[in-house]
Amino acid sequence: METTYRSNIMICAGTSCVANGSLKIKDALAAELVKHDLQNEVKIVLTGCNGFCAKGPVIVVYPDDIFYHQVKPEDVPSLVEEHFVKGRPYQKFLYKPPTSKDTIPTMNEIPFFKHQVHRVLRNRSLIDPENIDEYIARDGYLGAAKALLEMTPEQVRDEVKRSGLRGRGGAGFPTGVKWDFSASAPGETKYVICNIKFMDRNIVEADPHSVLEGMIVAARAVNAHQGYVYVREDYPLAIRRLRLAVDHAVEKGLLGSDILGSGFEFNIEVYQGAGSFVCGEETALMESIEGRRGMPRVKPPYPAVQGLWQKPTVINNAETLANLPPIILNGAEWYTSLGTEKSRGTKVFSLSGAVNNSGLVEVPMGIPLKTVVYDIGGGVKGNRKLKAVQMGGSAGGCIPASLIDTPVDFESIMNTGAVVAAGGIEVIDETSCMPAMAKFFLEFMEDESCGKCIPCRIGSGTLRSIITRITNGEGREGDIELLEKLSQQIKDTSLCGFGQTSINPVLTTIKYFREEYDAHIKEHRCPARVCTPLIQFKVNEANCKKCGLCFKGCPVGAITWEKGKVAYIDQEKCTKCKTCIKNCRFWAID
Amino acid sequence: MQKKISVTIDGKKVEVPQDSTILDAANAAGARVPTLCQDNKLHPYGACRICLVEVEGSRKLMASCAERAREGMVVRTTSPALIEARKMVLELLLIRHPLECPSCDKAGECKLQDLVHEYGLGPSRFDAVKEYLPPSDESAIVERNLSRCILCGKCARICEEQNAVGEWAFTRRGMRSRISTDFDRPLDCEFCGECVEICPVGALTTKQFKYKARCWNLTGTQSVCNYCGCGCTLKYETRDGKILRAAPANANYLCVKGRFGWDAMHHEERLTTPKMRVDGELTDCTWEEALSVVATNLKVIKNKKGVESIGGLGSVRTTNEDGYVFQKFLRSVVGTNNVDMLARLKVPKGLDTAFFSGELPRMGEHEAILALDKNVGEINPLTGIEIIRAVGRKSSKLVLVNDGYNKFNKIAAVTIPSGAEQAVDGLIAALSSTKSGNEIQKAAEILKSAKSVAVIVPSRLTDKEFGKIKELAGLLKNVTYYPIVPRSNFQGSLDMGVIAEYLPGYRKAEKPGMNAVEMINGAKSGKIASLYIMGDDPVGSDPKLKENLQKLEFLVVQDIFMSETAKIAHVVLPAASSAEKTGTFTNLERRLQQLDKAEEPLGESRPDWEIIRDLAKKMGGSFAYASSRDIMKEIRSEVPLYAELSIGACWQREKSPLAGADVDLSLSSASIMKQEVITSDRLLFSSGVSITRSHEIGTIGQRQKIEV
Repeated sequence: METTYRSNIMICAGTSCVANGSLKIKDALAAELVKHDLQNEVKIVLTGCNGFCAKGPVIVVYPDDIFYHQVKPEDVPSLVEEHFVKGRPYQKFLYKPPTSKDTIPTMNEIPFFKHQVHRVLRNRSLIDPENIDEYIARDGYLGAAKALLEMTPEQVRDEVKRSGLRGRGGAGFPTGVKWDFSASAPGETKYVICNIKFMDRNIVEADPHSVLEGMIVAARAVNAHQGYVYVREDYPLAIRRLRLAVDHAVEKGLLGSDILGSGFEFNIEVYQGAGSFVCGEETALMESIEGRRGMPRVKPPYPAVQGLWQKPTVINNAETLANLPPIILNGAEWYTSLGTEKSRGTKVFSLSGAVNNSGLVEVPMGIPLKTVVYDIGGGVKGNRKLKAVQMGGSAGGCIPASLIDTPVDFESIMNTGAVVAAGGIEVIDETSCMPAMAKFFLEFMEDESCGKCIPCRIGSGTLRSIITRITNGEGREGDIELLEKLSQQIKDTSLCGFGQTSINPVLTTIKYFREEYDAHIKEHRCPARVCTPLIQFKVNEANCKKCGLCFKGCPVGAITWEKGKVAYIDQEKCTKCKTCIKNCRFWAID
Repeated sequence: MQKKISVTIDGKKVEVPQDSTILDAANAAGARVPTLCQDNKLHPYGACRICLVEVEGSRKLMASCAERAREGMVVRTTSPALIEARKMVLELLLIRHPLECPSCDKAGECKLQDLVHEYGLGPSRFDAVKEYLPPSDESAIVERNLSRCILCGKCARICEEQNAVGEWAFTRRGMRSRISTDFDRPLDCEFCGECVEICPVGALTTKQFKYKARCWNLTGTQSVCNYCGCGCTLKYETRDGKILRAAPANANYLCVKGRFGWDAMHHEERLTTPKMRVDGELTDCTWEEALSVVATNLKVIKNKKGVESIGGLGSVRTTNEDGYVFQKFLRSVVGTNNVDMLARLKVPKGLDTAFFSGELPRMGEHEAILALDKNVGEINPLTGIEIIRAVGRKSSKLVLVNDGYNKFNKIAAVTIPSGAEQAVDGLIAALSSTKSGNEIQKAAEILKSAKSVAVIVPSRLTDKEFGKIKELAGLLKNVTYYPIVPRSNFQGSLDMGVIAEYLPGYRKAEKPGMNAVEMINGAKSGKIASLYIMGDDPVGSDPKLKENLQKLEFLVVQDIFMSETAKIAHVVLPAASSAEKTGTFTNLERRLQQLDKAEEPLGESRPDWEIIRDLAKKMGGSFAYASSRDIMKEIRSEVPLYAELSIGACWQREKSPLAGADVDLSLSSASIMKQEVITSDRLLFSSGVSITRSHEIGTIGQRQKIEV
């Protein structure tokens, strides 16, 4: 008979918490429990990403729902003593909001979690991702079972169409409609591919079976019998958990030739890609699986009709797929209860940048961006001013602080020039230079371009070289217009979505922060004090509060200061390291 | 009939076949849509973005090379926005592309140059970033100029899609992408030069043509490659009467031999003057002297030993006109039917295979292809290419019989890893059984279910082997044979009656003369006292035959090189090469092809037919041919198969007098050539009288696997 535990300690073993030492915490806890002879009463479980990465390592104790963060191994004895022996939360590691003196012990009371709704991340901090039984215990594979045993492929597609689920990949294309194309495409052999984008990594690491189950539902919908999960090799934990999950599912008869006795056959292969950004583009991904260089194909024909090995192929990303089981199980109406009319359900975001609470969050579609940044994210770090929010990763766009009330849904965000689907939210504060940021993204895109089509291959590098001269203080009259024109042309003429969206960082920063570009070109000034060639390293007497922070931080002794006097920077000694600029709170260094 | 659709291009309505691209429709409408990465020989790629067009109802610009035309589509191929977009593509390319047009061999036929001119690009909006990389010339034949490359991928694609070799590929990413071989090693491929031909800029050029001429100073002359039975039509490009380059005609294909091997015709061993043996030495003489000596000696021997002691061995490298005049001379002027070709030794057995090849461009109409000769790509490269095209573009399924490994393994649906004979036996057994599993069974299933099958027949077969192939064919539906024919004008020479048993057009000779084997043996036994050998080198093929030929009282050799046989002749007559004369060939498909004169005959050499005409005159014949056209006129009246055969057309098998008859035109070599044959797995570079004299092909120097 299995042991019944009175308490479960869920230790986050997501990549971020592991890096912060969560495995050491686990060892310390295990040793400590044995010391108190509690090993048969308290169970330790390693879970996937909890989401509150900024506060790792994170542990949650059930059934009390007590959330501990930034736990240190040396304090583990006190924690066990307090919580498991004396039965009261251990104050030291409880969450305390930046604005309050009182701790919040219960996880769901913490603002970071309170505004979230977990559908895709439904099992986070609740199950061991390497244990299929725990997934099954949380209604796992019931959706697949329903799709296989109680529904026809048409009914599955109809349910998904009625749910309004849109692809969490790029363009937000309705998933059910895409399936219809594949389902009606001629041919016996069809494929289902799961694409894992940057942010999906945490989903598959935390709950790999939810993705596999989604693939079974998709396979049922289009009558495919072979599936591939394409994971880049840079995600070794994801690869390991997926392979393990496939093995377990096969053992349980949840994958294979006769799933749950339905007679339906479906097999999944986990395919390890070499790790190229452009292989996120669906046709490049297929080229890669077929053993060629990952370069996008010209479309049409679309993958739904002629995809992998020229066969009709459904390709969805892990987040879209993880949405499917509960939709099938609970019905389209349940799904549409959240979100807006055109953007149903929830969306997972990786919240990062100059924000207090970075991490993985899932919010209902339509939630104001402001709630995400200020309530969930806890506001801008260091009480700096919010400048913009970058949404959609390298191919996304910037939303200025003035549009912070924009609801997070496909259309509203698209109208700003940014992108919802990729799921990145990067908070940018006043210390960031927008042309420099655009340059950063362009450098990435230039490196990652596959080189196939001319506008993307040469165009992105050309944009980068123009922005580089702007940030170097060598910008020319007309450069902004040239950037706009070339960006628009690259957008109109590039072969694939990669090239067509690579210019978003340029176009949106010009759209909302044109004056910053102007300042660089016309006034030879970088307002954010980021572009070194444009900084004079002179103290602005009007702004200087004579605090001496610049003096204290200077590593080369280039600054002279006395209490009550304006600081002075010796140009001879200054190495332009910008420490003074980072330390100055008053924008007193020009 | 294929369904047609109607498309409006720039306001003009055109009807095009259903699977046409927008580009096809635009071309049909006469609209000029520029392209850089598109080629009809390749699958659509859509990379250069210069062929973008506007389609009504579509928000996005569309790559016309890849987008299918649809019924009722309304397309604009030019608009201010499109012109601007195209200019941008060109402008971006010119950021890096070096403007070294004055020293680039591609200038004048460079697509980038043409388009920059056509779109009138002025000063660029962007700063140039020229990076000069020295040309990489470590490979034979081909020179690579990376800084000129625009990364259209055509070289890599044609090498993979058409040649199944895949020597070139993209490496690195983004702006640093480049075309390269594996780890940048020197080329180790078939050296067909298709990549150079298809390169739209000067990124790939040939060493052979480097700095030889500007393309606009070249004169093109239509001719036919005479290296194998495929007989690819080509264009010799000359300047000042010298060939400098060869290009495929009809935008088709040339292999290494056709494209680069023509320089053999400029080899120092070319014969430039007639020679006769004086005091045991071959000595230069005049045509008058040489022809008089030949005429006199033939007459003397005829009187002394009888006309049956004289024989003629013709060639497969000469034109139809040459062959026709040769056999006519022997039969009517000398008066003997001892006319034949040694090339018959290398003929596939049996009439069907020898004559009735399918047409090569129709290879893709067959649902299945059974390749019984693994060396098809080496011996008949075009047949090999058509197999690959059939598999890659028409979805034919290839059943390959190969006991080794070569490029065809990559595209075969099934490979039977054995010799041809064993495979045929296995297939016959498998076709009548219902077991399944192994390769032979899978192959049998493919062949059985195919509505039509092409069978690539090896060039050397025994009676028994050919019988087996026929038996196998009997079990399949609609079989078309594609025999491997190593020699160029073999079909034409047979048609012209350069064969003991038949007069021109396969009229049975009333009194058949001695065949080639009998003549060679007769030289030894004394039955043959004199041989006239036109364009062949028996001693070069088998040094043992020297003994036979040395017994002859009088040996005339007419050739383009000082061959091993010529060295023991009494009179040597210098002939013009195939590029130096006008005439026709008939290739393995029975297709009549025109050769025009690209170069003047070297030295005093003359076309074969002219030499024989003059010799005939000396011997009292009345050969009144002023040109090869006159001969063709006579051929058309004498040979019904050619009566209405136009250039480029194939004569129909049903019309042959031998159709349906079971006639064997092959000769057994057992009695004369007993030596073991040494061959190589790189036959492309290493076989033949001419190829071994090509300087350019000699530079390839590759590893070769020798088989005995």
